[in-house]
Amino acid sequence: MDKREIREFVVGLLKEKLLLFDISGDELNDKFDLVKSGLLDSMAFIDLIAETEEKYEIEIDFEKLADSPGFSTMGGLISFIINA
Amino acid sequence: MKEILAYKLQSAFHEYKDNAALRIGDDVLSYGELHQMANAIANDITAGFPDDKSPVAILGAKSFMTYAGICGALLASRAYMPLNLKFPDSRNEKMMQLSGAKIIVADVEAKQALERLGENYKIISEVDGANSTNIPLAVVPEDTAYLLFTSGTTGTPKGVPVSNRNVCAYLDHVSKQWQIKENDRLSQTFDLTFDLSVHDMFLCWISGACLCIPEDDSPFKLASYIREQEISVWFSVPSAAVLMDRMRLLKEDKFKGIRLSFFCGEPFPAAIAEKWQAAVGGSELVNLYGPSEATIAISSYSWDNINTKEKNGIACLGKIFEGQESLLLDTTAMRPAESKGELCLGGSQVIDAYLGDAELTKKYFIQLDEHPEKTWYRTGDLACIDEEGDLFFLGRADSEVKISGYRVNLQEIDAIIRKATGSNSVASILHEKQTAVIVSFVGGIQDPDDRSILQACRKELPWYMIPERIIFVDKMPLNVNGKIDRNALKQMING
Repeated sequence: MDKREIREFVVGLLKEKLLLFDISGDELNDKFDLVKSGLLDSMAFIDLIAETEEKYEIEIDFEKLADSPGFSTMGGLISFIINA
Repeated sequence: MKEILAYKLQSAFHEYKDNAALRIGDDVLSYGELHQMANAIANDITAGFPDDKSPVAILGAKSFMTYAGICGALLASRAYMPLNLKFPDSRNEKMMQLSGAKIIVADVEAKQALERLGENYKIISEVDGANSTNIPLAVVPEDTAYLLFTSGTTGTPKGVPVSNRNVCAYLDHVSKQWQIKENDRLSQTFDLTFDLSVHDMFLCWISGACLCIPEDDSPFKLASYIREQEISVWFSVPSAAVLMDRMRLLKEDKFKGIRLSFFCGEPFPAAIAEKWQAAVGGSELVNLYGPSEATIAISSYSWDNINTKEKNGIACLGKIFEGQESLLLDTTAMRPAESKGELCLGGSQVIDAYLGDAELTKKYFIQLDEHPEKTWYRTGDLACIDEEGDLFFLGRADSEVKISGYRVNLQEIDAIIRKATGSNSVASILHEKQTAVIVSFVGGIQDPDDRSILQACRKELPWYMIPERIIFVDKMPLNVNGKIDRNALKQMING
C-alpha cells in the first residue's frame, strides 16, 4: 500500500460527508483536520480507522496514534497507517 | 454558613493554602494563589456594579483565569454562569440576555468571541491584584450559586438556577459518602457548561485535593492525560469509556492508579462498567444519576464484582441519596405508581423553578393529591424499582435524548429546521449506531437543500445538537393517531 492508495480509500469512506460539508478534494489536503474541522466526531473517526484496519489487515495502536502530532489530519493519519 | 458555597470555598482557601488547587500540564496554582486571583476578580466585580446581583458570565478555555473567575464570582456573592467558546455566538448571546448578566470574566482565548458579543458588557480579562482583600459574603442559601442552560422544546434554552442550598446539599452528601483526600488528583473532563463540572471543581476544592485540567481536550488523549497527570479520582460520561474501549485501551490494570471512578450523564452500558473496573484494577466504580434540576446527581450505584445489577444491558441507577426523595408517577392517573413510572424527585437538591418561565415551571414542578404540600420535579425519565429499592432506567417519556451526556430536546432542533425551511413537517430522531447520532427528516418542500439547513443548525445550535444528516421525504409517515411515525422513520434509515 502507498500513500495515494490509502488517501483514495479514506476519501471514498468520507464521500457523503464531504458533500454535506461542501468540502472539495483540494481542501482535503494533508493539513486538513478530520476531527477539528467538525467533519467527524470522535467515534466516527475511530470507525474510519477500524475500516482502514480491516481493509489493510493491520492493527493500529491507538494510544501511540493519539500521541503522534497531527494524528487527526489527513497527512498525519495516512503516514501513521503506512507505518503501522 | 453551612449552606453557602462561597463560604466552603473560603474555608478551603485558608485551610489548604499551600496545597496545589489546579494543575494544567506542568503549571500549578496553589489554593493561596487561586484565592488571591479570585479575590482580585471579586473586587473588580463588586467595584463595577456594587448593588447588582445578576450572575457573572464566564467565557474562556480551561485556564487559571477561567477557574479563578468562577471562584471570584462566588466570593463576590454572585452566581456564575458559564458560556462556551465552542457554542455558536447566538447561543452565548441568548444566555447573556436570558440571565441579565452584565459582567463577563474572560481569558485570552475568548478575545475574538468577546468582540462578537458586543460592547454592552463589563469585561474582566486581567487580574491586576491591586485589591485582593476578602469581601464580606452577603449570600443566603436561597441565592443562586450557578446558572446553567439546558435544551428546551421551543428553540430557547431553559435556564436552571441552582441555589447555594441545592449545591451544598449535594457536596455534603458526596463528600461524606466518598472521602476525597488531600493527595488525590481529580479529573476535569467536562465542559464548564455541563453541571458535572461543578462536582469536579468543588468536591475537589472542599477536600484540599488537586484538580487536573487536560491540556488538550481531545477525547483521544484521555489515556495519556490519566497517565501524565496521575489521576486518582476519575469522572466522565460513559461515552468516554466507550471510546476508550473502542481504542482497545480498557485492558486489565491499565489505569490502576485510579482508586475511585464516577460516571454520570447518560445510560452506562453494563459491559463497559465491567471492562472499566478491570482496567482500574477493581477499584470502586460509582454510577451516578440525576438531572441538572436536581443538582448534578441524586442517586448512586456502586458497581463491583458482586454488585452488577443491570436491566437491558444498562447499569443500575441505585438508590436516591439519603435525605432526598423520589417517587414513580403513573402519568395517566397522576398518582404514585407501585414499581414503574416517570421518576419524580424532591428534596433539598431539587431547584424551585426554571429561570423566568412560570409556565415551564408549572409543567415540570408538580403537586400531587397524595402530598399536596410537596413539590416534585418530573424528570421525564421512565424508571422501575426492585425489591431492594434500586432504580433502573427504562427510557424517556418525551422527545429528549442524550448525546455524549448532553441533554438534547429533539423538538428544539425541529424548531430551528422549521424556521430555516418553512416546512411544518420536520422530525428529528436519534439513530443508534456505534454511538447515537441525530437524523432529521424534512417533508414537503420544493427545493431540498441539506447544506443550508445544516448551516442554519450550526449557526443556532451547539455542536452536539447538529444532525448528522438530513433526509427529505415527500410525505411524513403517520401512525394511526395521525402523529409522525418515528418507528417508520427509523426503519427508513436502517433499510
